[in-house]
Amino acid sequence: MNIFQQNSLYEFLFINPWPWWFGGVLIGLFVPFFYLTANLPLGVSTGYGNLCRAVLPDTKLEALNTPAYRKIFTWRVFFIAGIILGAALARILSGDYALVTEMGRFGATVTHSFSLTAVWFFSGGILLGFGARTAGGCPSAHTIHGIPCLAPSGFVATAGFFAGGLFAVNLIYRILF
Amino acid sequence: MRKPYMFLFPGMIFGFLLSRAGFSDYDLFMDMFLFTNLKLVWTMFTAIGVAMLSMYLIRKFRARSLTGEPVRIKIKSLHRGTLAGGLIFGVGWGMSGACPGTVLAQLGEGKIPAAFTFSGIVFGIYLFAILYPRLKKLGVPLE
Repeated sequence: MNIFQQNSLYEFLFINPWPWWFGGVLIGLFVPFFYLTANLPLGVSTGYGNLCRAVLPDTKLEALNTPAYRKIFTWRVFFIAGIILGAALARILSGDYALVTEMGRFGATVTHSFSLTAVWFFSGGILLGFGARTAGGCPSAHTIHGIPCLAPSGFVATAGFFAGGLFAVNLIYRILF
Repeated sequence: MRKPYMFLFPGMIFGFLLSRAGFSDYDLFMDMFLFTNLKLVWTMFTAIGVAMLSMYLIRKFRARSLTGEPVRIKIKSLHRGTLAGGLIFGVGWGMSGACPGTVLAQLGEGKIPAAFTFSGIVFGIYLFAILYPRLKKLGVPLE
């Protein structure tokens, strides 16, 4: 605990969960902020292709040789690294940074086994990566950026994201476990 | 921002926002899809509304970027993979409680299972690249 944590503004900004409207306004403002500073549309998932190239620098696969993937260390990779650091900073400022092996209520409901957890989340990740590239983007590009820019693809992809999520989560938590 | 490493800074802002807004919280995503706590839905609607208004103003006043050029809004195309890919993605979202952006925030927060989701995404993109010659015939472009 440091002296600033006595301040209620500090608690609001860094410790207590943000109210929905506060987080919503700031995340919404990030879209114009990114255009006004870098003139780029918000998007995260394309950068994972650069990471894929970092593992396989000599691949000849067409989908990993698009203009975005000609170099490995593009702005996207640094943006990805920044997200990791920013979230770490958020926890450090809140004063309770800790490594945890549990993912919310997943352990208590689905499985406590660490290896099954690993397989489960790895499989989920495969669907995320494959789906995002097939859909042309993830919720950052399609939902937070695409819908406000009135992109038809944003509405369609978002409908898909939510339909898939509703199906999977209700199957997992209401039927299977 | 001309040098790639400068993007660490907006990345940090975005990661901080995702984490503080609750988007890195596995339970909140499950609650959203189970309709037991809709906080993230309201956050998302607010974000979409604020971004929509901002983008309207940027278009209306033909705003310029700090790069010196006029703002160029780039949207993704709608094609035969958009809905199918979205559905596959959604199942992955439900399984992992994360998307490619928020899993990075989970990693930063020290949630270890996020490392498996993260490597899964990289592998999923490799799988997409391997299967791409077939998907191309089905009408899925690269973007």
